[in-house]
Amino acid sequence: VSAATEREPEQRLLLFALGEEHYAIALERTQQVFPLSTITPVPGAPAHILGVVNLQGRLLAILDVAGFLGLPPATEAGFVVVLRHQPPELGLLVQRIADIVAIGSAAYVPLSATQEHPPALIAQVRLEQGLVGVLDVDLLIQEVTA
Amino acid sequence: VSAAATTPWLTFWLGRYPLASPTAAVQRVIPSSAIVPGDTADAPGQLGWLPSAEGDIPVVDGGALWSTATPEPRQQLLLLRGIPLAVAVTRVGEVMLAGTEAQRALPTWLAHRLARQGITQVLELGTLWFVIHWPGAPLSRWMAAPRLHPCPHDQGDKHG
Repeated sequence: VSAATEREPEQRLLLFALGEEHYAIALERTQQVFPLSTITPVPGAPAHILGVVNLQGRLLAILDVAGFLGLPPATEAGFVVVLRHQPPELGLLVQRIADIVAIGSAAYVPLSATQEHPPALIAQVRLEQGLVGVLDVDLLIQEVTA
Repeated sequence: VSAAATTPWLTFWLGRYPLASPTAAVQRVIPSSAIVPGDTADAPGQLGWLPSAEGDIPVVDGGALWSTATPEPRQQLLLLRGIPLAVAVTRVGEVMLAGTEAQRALPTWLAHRLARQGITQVLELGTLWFVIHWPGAPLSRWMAAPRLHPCPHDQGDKHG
């Protein structure tokens, strides 16, 4: 068996910053990223939905993912990470895109069993940015849109 | 889009929320200085009354239809057509013609939520406007809420 086939599979993550903290989602679940310019607030929208933006003629709901995770709310400036879904349902407002990394299973750090975790947080990885929370896109969409 | 396919929409603001109403649903736009304070204790969101020849008409803060409050100042009132109610809004914008080409699709889950709030369409007319149809769900709920107090000018007649 060659060394190449022995190498463990890696997962590519999109890292983004929320204030001082970093979080990540699977890169394959990211459709696009664009800088937020204009957002229209929605009357009666659920908590943490900042509003909608026009994404090529279809409206995309923008989640204040920082507020959703219990961090200080976003300042409505930053970048929108459009989650891959057909049709697009949700964009995450993040402060900035930090990196794209490929990680193996060794980088994962078990979640503390004794602490409560934000919804959709499924793992942590140890990177140069520190401990980075990994969010499950499907759980995130489910939590927000239920 | 032919002219026949277009509808006039009255745009207005409730705080920072951009809304639109079919123009046909609004009888008049009146300065909020016309509000007469009165007994509104039993009616959350009611700001007072609008005297009219047909009797006093309750004035509701538009934001109260979504269980919130419109920040002051509320500059104008939409006197609805066919419904004895005036809705206080931050300010009225423009009347704009638009047809189906101006409609924008919301994510399904959000469209369902907004439909329950009486908002069934979004129009892009320069910017986005959330269309509320009167009487929509929130207005119907508000009007259906029990309120026992009479109009202030009728109190002497109706009490006792």
